[in-house]
Amino acid sequence: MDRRLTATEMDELLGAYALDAVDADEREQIEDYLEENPRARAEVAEHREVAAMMSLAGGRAPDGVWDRIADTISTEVPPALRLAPVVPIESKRRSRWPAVLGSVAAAAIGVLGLTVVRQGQEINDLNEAVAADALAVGAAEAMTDPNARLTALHTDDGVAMADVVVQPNGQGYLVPRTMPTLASDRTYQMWGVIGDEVISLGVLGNEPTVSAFSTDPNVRSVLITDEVAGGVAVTQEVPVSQGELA
Amino acid sequence: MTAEPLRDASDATLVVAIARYRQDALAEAYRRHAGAVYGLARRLLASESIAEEVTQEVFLRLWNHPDRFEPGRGSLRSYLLAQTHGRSVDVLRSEGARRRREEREARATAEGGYDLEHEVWDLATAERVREAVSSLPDGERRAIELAYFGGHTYREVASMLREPEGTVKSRIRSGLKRMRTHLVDIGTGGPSWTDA
Repeated sequence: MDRRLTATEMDELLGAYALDAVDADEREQIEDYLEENPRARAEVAEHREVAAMMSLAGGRAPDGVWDRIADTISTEVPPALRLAPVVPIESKRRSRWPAVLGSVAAAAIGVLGLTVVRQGQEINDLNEAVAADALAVGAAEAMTDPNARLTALHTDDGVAMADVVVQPNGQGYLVPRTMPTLASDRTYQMWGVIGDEVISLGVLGNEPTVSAFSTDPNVRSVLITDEVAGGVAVTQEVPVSQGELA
Repeated sequence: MTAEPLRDASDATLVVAIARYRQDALAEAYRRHAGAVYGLARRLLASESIAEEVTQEVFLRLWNHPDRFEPGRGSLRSYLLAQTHGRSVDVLRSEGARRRREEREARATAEGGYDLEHEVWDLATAERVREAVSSLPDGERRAIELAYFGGHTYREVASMLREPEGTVKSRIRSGLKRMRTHLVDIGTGGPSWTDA
């Protein structure tokens, strides 16, 4: 089957996809779809959690399996440095397990990468990592909230820079996808359109990670601008990306 | 780096430690999850030796690519089991394995009729999960069982059940959603694996 699936058809296949029950060409199309659709990614994650619960078989793996694993890893010499692919801006590579919940994941990936990078600097970052995980988990939970509103912030060229979710109580999360690192004297700043006003929702820094924010629950759309470090009270810049919450 | 006690660490902390090449962290992850990984692989592949290989592969993959685990996406166990399922299905769908499976299923049919339900659940121990599955309409339950534990595509499931493909894919999706709702309603929003 080579025809392109519609979004509705791909939504219908999310359950089968989560169970590895689709054909290869469908899988490829769905993985492309998931990269652009946070709600679909969250649904697949939920389906896989249910599947994992169905797998509760208990028991133990046979003796000897761990010994073989230990033998294998004990002969490996760790590389001196291993950078994590935080946000591949133009990568078209499709892995078997794509970056579902990609941007939420990017935070965790970034944390893991950072962990290794800092290994030689004797920084105990386990606690930091766990804290970042908690933020990522909070964002993921918000995305699975059926009452939350979501949007992907796109550039004029159609590139999805980030996902934003706002829950009914005004708790929001920004989850970067492809936000190029800015110069150190610049920062991304997030804005919400509430009624006729454009309100700053926060300064994100020049290399944003998953961020939490609070806003008026009636915020209609979200914009990102590129500002001087520290941010501004009123922006004069053209948004680098924007999206309508739905 | 000074070793930190990992017995009580969260899965996310374990994975961070694995990224720092701490073998004891991988050993702890193995202690918690290898039984489920192996059990699922064995169930799908009906071969202890191949299930052992898949188990080994899944944990080595975690060791080599800890960054692919995304805490925001779900638990470490669901990640490992998704890996296990995907790899097992790949093996299962290879031609040789497919022949073996068809022979096995034909033999089972000849000997005692098609009793996948019994086969599926003789390994399941969670009463609540069992209850959630049993609460599903028959069509949804059988579609999910055949897809997940049988390793079949939804098209194959449709053929086996003599149902339209669209019906089967809808049933898989709606069944999974129904199970999740049921599990949440009865207080099993998700398992806690730290003490597993």
